Amino acid sequence: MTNLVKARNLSKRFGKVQALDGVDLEIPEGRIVGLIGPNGAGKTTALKALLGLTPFTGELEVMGLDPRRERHRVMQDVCFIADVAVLPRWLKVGQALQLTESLHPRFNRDRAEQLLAASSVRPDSRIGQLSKGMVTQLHLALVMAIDAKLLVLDEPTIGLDIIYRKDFYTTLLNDYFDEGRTILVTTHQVEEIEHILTDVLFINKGRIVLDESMERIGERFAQVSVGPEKAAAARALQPLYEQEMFGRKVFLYQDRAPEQLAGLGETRVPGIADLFVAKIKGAVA
Amino acid sequence: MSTMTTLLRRETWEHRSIYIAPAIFAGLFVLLALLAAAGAIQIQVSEPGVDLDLRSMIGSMDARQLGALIQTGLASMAVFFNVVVLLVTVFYLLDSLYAERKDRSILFWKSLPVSDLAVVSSKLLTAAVLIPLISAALFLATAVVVFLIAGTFALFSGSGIVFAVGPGAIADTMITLIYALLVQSLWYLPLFAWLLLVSAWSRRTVLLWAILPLWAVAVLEQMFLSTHMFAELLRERLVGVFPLAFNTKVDEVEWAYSGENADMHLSLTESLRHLIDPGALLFSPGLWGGLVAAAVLTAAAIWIRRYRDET
Repeated sequence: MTNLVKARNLSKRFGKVQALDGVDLEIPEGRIVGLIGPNGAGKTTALKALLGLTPFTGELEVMGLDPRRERHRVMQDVCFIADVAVLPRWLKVGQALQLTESLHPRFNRDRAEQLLAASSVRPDSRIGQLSKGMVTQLHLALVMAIDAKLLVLDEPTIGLDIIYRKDFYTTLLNDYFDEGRTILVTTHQVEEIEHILTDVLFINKGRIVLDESMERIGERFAQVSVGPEKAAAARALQPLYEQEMFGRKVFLYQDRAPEQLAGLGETRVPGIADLFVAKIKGAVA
Repeated sequence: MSTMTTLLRRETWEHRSIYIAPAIFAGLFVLLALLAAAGAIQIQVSEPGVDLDLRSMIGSMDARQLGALIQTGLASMAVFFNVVVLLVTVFYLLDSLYAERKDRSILFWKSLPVSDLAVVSSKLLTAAVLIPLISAALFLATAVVVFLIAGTFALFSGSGIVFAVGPGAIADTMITLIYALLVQSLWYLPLFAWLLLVSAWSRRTVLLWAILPLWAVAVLEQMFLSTHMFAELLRERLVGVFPLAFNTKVDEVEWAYSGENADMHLSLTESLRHLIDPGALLFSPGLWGGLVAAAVLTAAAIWIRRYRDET
């Protein structure tokens, strides 16, 4: 399996803030990787470094190229949708298609038109007149019609209605993703993408705190709901995190043998959101 | 379609003023010609001792004289046209790399596999080549329409002379205009590149940043060195090209009119084309120095667009 992205000791500082603090990461082909972190953790900065949009220190290869110097070549194989509607407001939908067709060698116009026909976006509208949801539909149609290896999405559904949000990921998964493609996505709404991810990267204060595939998360982490009478025994096993729920204690463990936990109570694989809270808050405590 | 053609087309989509403003101006000329032909306005030469309307003036001319007069008229129209087009160019350039940062659409543009070199070059080419070409085409259309109006009017007054000499005069004017636009673009290239750099760099009040540093350098030089070299350099840059690129006073056509309300004498250039003389320009250090400055300023604009991150 080839790695599309290889980063070694990626660092970036904005004045006093260390936005990226020695990030190492690899993104293999054919995965859907969620980059998850609190506000200001360095998610967007990391993505911008990959896309050649911001200067940084450290080693970085995207498709074997240095995005700092060869952004335009990297962009032949990488698409991205940023966290804000960035399509120019003066552009018409038809012009956007024409432009992308002549500037992007891997763009398939018929495909984009097909995707747009299924949406409520009309080809003669100016982008400034479209709703935010429609602009996102248009941008997604443009991007999905590009035969790219890596798709980078930075909070793509922020500010969208719930209906659009669900459609966004469904369309992406059903009509776009296959073993030849890789998606890197950041979002606040972890629950929204949890079921489509194959890998997660947790980032906090500019550092990667967890880099694991979903299968391995099932193996390494366990959440146990414990009655109050066994709480002391549960604590003795040094949980990562503890919270109270409906009068029961819920403990989250990392790298504990299943037989150790079996006696405590009902065991299950934690959700990404719970794991995230445990990793970030647990690190603070 | 090639990348550059697409990028140039994109500029006309975004900045529609680069053809709308000269088109409006062209429309005004046509309107003026129509009003004159309909007799609603009268074009009159009024100087001390002279009171002569255009019609009697034309009536007294032979083909050579009239051809020269038409060219002079077209040349003055071209000068007005050029002023409008230059203003449009200044505002186009100031907006060209600033607007995409202001509305953050730069993130979309940078998601396309197009280099910053190509993008910035397309903006400079728009200012130096595309806008002059659009304005020359609009000027030609205006000249032809005005000529048809004037010719038809003259025909009704019983003279085919305007139709006879008009096409040659328009052709001569167009050749001269295209040459003038070419040398003007070459001479102004460092100014264009400076505006491009300000547009790539400035966070707000672009126009102020375009003017203020130049003004400050001139003022500081006068304060500390009591010299005016920079101010002189700027003045030369703004108005110096046509004296270098054209010679004056060749093969003149004399015309004299003597009548009861006027006594008038004109000397006109027979053909504007004969004024073209690029020798002095090609050997002037100003042209080549300017082109070097333009290259440096453009490279700086490209560098800023590539490496600056403010989104």
